[in-house]
Amino acid sequence: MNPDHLLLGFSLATTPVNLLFAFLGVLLGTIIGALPGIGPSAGVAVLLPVTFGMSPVSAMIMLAGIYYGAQYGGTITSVLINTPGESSSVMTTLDGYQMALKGRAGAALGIAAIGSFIAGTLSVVLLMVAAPPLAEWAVSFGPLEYFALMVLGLTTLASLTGGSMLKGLAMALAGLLLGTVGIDLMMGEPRYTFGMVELYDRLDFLPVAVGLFALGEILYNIYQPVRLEPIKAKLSGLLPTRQDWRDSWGAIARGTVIGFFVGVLPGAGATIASFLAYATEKRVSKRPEQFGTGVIEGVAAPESANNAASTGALVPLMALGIPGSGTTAVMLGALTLYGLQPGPLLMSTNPEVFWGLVASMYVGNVMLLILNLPLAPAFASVLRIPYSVLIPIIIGIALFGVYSVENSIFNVGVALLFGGIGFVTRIYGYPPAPLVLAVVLGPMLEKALRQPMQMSLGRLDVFVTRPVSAGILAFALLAVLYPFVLSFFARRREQALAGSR
Amino acid sequence: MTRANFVGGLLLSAFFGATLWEAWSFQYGTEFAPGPGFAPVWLSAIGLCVSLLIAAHGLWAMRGGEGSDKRAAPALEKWGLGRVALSLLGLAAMVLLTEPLGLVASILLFLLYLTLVVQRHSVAVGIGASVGTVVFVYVVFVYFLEVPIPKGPLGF
Repeated sequence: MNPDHLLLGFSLATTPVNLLFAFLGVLLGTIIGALPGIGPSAGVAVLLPVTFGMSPVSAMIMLAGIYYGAQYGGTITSVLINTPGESSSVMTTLDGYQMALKGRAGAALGIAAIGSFIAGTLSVVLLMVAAPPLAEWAVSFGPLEYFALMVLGLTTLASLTGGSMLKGLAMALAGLLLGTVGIDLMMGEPRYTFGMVELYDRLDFLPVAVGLFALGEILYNIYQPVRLEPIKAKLSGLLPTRQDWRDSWGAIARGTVIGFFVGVLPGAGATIASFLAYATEKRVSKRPEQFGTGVIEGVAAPESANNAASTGALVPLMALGIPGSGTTAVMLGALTLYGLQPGPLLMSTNPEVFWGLVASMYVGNVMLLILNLPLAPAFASVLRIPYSVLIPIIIGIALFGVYSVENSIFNVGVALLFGGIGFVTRIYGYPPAPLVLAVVLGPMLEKALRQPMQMSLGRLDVFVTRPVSAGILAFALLAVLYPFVLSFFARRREQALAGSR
Repeated sequence: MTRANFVGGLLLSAFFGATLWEAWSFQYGTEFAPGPGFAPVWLSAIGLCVSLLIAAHGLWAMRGGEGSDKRAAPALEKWGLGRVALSLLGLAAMVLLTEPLGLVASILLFLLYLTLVVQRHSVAVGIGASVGTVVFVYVVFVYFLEVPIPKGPLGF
């Protein structure tokens, strides 16, 4: 790692304008995280058009701030109303809410903020150490390896988003098909355009993302209004006691390591990281039976893990140009909208984007610690605003934002269509993230599929002729087969147990 | 999720079937290289298989298959669905009204409709949230970001 790069990053991140955007990002992220019903994916998608007037560095600083800031904010609702603001804060509800009921809401929020700060900062160090060598190695990658990596990203996301693996796969396939809409860049033939000129230049990802993530979720909240009833907790004693520290430091350290490495894996993300960190903590604890009754390590571990995971997820995005989640897919789309070429060369052609982002994350985590310790009661008061009042505000920003991407009312119609689809998929348990990721990756994936086949005169086995691509494709196959194999063996075990009774 | 999976699987099958049908009209490829139809045909075909599997799982569960997901589909609440339908209708009307009325006026009308008719907020809250939102987005997008928007007879 060249220290000059980090200095360049800090010189950019500490300009007054970028400090302001980092602050706005983490503040909005905390609010978005605190509000159940709108997640970081929706937040980043809705607010992306607001960044159009900014430089790419400032825009990425603000969007990343929203992303990792949301992980801090999700804790507030988990502790105070037993409802996770984010899916990655689900595990925090188990002990966080119990702590609040025992009058220790302040301690729960305090350790969550401090654990998140430590995990966030340490994982930025890991990002800084891991991403540049990975990008350097990936420069030698050709379309074969890229194809394999994108397939791995999609299959793991489809299999890990919870619920049915088949539904995740169906959404990913639908997204890939949507990615083929428009004029074929190699042969010039229009596909699925149905005579609509607006579709010739492909389907923009932003109306799809805003529709599925934001409008779909808002329609669901119109269908089933969220009622927030925070418990009347006195938020004092935010700083941990000596005993709290003794109980939590190990959990924070383990949560950080687990979170970062799970975050790097495509598709895994902050939710799975927090589940794993909680389960690990329970396993290594001397008092596992007390988990779920309000132990502080039950808050420290998942909160550290989800923050570290959100930073870890930036490794494949920045080093390879391959997002592993819905939110990072939107961020990848943002990079292309600013005219940047995501991929391993980004760090050498536009070092200011990566290093400015890294430096801003150090600053942003300090801002979040300051915001979340003394200002925790202020964020808690956001929960008293009826969510239904926020709905028109979010819709208004989303519609204007979607229009402003291409100055196209057609795009607003597309967002509306995908809003309806997002509502239906939300009700029937079809995850939207694989579809959005596939819409973003689709055109790149098709190019990476057709180029090697063209060069090898149509041979499909060309994808397994190089060890890296063959290895990655084998992992992708494992990701698809793993849930089925697991359920097969579970059933066999159940049958064996039933037989022995 | 038994019946819902069955119906959902069938609907998805119809979608992938339609995309497969359309994909046949694209050039599949030359003798040695895949063409514009290659990816759509394969994606649609695999999607069709996956969605038929979802439908089959649903059908198997409906018949009480062992180890199947027997959770009931969420019961749909008709007033909630009515609110969603009204919101979608309002959004569609907003898109259609943008050309004659302008983007700002059509979004303002939609937000007033959403807050006062669909969500049944008080007049003060409805007008406050709608006008406040429109003023905010106008300042951000039109004033600061200089996004050109379709204007109506009132000049905005």
